[in-house]
Amino acid sequence: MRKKRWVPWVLVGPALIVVFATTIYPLLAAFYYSFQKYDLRKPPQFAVQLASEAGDPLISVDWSLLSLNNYARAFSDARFINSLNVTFWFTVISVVLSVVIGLLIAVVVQKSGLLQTLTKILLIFPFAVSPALKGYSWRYMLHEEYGIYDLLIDVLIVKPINLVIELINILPFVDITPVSESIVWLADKFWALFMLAMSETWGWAPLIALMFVGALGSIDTQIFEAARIDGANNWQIFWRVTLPLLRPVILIVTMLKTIFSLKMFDQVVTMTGGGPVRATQTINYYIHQVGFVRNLDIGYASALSYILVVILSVFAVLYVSKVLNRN
Amino acid sequence: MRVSYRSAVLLLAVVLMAIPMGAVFAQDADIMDPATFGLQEGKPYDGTHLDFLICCNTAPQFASGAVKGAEEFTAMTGITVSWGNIPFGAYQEALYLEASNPNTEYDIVAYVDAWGTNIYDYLHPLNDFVDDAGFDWDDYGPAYQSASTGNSDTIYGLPFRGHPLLLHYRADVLEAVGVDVPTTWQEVSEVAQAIVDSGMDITPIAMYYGLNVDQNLFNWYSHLWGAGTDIFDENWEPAFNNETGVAATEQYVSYVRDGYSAEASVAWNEQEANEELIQGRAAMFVGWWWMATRMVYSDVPEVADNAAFAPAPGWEGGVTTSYGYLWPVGILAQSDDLEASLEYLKWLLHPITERRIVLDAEDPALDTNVAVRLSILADEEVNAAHNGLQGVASEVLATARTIPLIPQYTEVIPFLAEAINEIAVDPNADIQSVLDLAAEDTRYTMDSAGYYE
Repeated sequence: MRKKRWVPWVLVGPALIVVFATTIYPLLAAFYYSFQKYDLRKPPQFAVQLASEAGDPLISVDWSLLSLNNYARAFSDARFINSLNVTFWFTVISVVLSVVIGLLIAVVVQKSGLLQTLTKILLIFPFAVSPALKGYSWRYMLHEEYGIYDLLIDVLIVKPINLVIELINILPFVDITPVSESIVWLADKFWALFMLAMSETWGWAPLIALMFVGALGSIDTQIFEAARIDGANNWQIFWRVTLPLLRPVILIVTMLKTIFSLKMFDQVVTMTGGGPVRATQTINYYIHQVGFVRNLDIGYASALSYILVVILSVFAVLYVSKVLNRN
Repeated sequence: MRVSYRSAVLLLAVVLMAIPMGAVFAQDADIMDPATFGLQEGKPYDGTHLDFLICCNTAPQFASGAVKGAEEFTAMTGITVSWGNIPFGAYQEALYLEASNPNTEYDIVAYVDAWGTNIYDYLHPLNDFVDDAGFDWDDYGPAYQSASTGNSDTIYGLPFRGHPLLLHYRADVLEAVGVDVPTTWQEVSEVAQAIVDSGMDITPIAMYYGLNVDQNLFNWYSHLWGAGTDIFDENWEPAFNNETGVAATEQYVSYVRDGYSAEASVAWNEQEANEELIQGRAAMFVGWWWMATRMVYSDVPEVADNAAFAPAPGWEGGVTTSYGYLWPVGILAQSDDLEASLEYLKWLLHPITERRIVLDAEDPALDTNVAVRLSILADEEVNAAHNGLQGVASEVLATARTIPLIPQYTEVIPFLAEAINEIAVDPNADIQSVLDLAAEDTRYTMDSAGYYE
């Protein structure tokens, strides 16, 4: 029977159209705009023009309207450089915390049992919460008057420390200042960034834990038994056997999380507004401000976006190659 | 025919009851008459549908306009109108994207005065409309007129919702402490100190220095202008970092530095600070007058029962000037239904419509005190319904002004908002040097835009 070659195209056609319209076209358009002066406040004057009358060339290009100015400007823009710095530290903190906490959760819930199964089901919920809502929730949970996290930190950490300090202060010639019970988390540059990363970890660590649970389940139990027969204790088994075997998954998860952390936007808007000062202005947040809120400079915002695309591409290529190698 | 005494009394009662009912019916007849609003007879735009780009229909000031009288307008004209409901946090972006979109579905647009400067090229000038429709332009205060025209001769939008800054305070607290309502910022500090000295368990004032849609600048402007300086001088050079500007900023952050406002206020936005007042944790708050109903309807009885309002404080020895914040409403130049949109504005912005909206307090979710016309603000019945709030607003608006209405100002705002936030967050920050850095950034932006050529 003759193969109908058009059938696969018809089947994937709708998906291809959607991908082109929502991903390929915006990517190409942004690349083009990144070389243009394009201010949203004024009707744009594009370098590339389609023929308006019969007899005109199909496409005409006014090269004088294209330049590398937007890219050059980025590297002398102190605010953009600040956003690179903020994004770097946010990524480091959120990736490390997500992976480490995710791994700890996985080790705890990997065994079979009703409680473990229930926990595994519940674990997906934080990831299902929308990032914008996550930001709002965290803003209120950290509120120094009625925030639940602020209260927990006070009760579980600050008060016990102060109790110890109070006891020590009974001694003669000792006068240690108690720890403040009212830390304004989102008013401190370090804590605001840290809490932003924590809000991200809250959503991602459980998902990563589920990935690790899957990976742990695929390890042959005979390996653990052999280690135990050789006299290894639980810690040695985890450190010398489990962790090395999980290394490929850890690498994949780390790269995936890095890509998502580099794109941080929603929680910045709803949780910190980029503050205090500029301490939580990530690259995506800054690009949004430049393009759609402050400068309305689509050309410059596109150039900044492409710098982010280049950074993300490095991790995306590494991620994809790792996944393909693993398969 | 004999009429019994009882029947006579009954008849009289019916007649007496019918008089006000008749007035209501007469009014209803007026509000159903297109001529009352200058609308065209014969429903020439029957079947037309308009889309109105606007935010926040959970806020009574906007929701009330969408609901109250909307059916009557449609009955008179055959025009239906859909109001948008875009959250405030996303509205600025939505406004710019829709205004610059040649194929936008929106016809009418409401915008914050400062944002409007970026979409002037996309708005239909309304000068002819104001003349033809017999709009009383002088019925708007100077701040609202400036905000509607961008200080030019072109009317880009018409005042729709406007907000003077008021001091919202707890009358019982001030009375207990034995102090008068402060009229200057310096007096605010004195009253705050008196509250602290009294030992009352309440924060004297709830300020908002956090970074959130630039709200930390609202009261800073009052300090700056009151002290006698401005954002720019006459040559568009930054002036906010001069000696007066530094003194004004010093006073502005003193409330948190001196402990009169909670330490956390350095991260608060306007809503969070207002929440302190309406939950009974703060005695004073300076914010927009639309928030007054939040205090009046507070769930805390001692807050609701002692809700009081006064003009926003001024500067000792200076002119009391605060920011009159306006939401003008305009028509997008690319609208296919320009004439129908103009018909809608005739009705929406008519004094009768505005008056009805502020007088109708039947539903608390739609109860609003917000009016923009001087005649409505001076209306006795309106004032009686809102405990004289409109009178207080008139007083503020008499000297209120607007912020620099140039497109570059939206680029300058983050420099200022971040500087204020930095000074508030860091008690050791040197005000002069932080403002100098913001001035440098401001100057660069203005220079790049060609202001110094």
